[in-house]
Amino acid sequence: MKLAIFPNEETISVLVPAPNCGLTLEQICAKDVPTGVKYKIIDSSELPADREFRNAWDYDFTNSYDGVGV
Amino acid sequence: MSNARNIASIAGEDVLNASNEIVPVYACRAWVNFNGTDAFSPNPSTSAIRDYGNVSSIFQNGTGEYTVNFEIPMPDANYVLTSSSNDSNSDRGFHVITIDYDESGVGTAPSTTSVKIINRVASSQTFSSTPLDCLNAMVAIFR
Repeated sequence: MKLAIFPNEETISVLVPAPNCGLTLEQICAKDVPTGVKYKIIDSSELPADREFRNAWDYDFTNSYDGVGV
Repeated sequence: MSNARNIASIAGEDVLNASNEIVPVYACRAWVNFNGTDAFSPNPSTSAIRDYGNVSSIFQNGTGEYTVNFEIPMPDANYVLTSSSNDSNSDRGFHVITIDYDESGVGTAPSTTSVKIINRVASSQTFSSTPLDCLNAMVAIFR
């Protein structure tokens, strides 16, 4: 399943699209990700399996992102 | 009353109160039922969003912290949020979802396009201010 991640304060947020809502994941990301914030589309299998340190998740969006919130 | 929709104008039938007066009906403007726990972990078999109306996505911002994004914006941010949530343990412990905002301006104020919420444990024996993931998060917005 495709998801999106974007930076959020000291961690990252995970965007889960509403299934069959009529918008593509890219359209949802552009609409819902905060304005000017970079996002990266990933497969859910890429998320860490261990949630114990969920709030410490990190990702370098500097040169690796698929779009920016509008 | 400007936002009230009278069922009589929709279905051709009157909605009456106990005094046989026609009363306004305020419809639910958005709702979502989602799994806030392992559905965000690798390889979920299904989407974390079980079902929804007028919701385009949810964010998991951290443990027990979520944002619900509306597909069609609300007319303003003065809506009402009602919710139910519980954990995945066998006791189905009682949780409470609140908006992530206080009078000092800390947090994220509800907006016409989204509302940020936090889930916390609120059982009869335990209250924890620490956000916690919940198995069943059910949120509805009225305006």
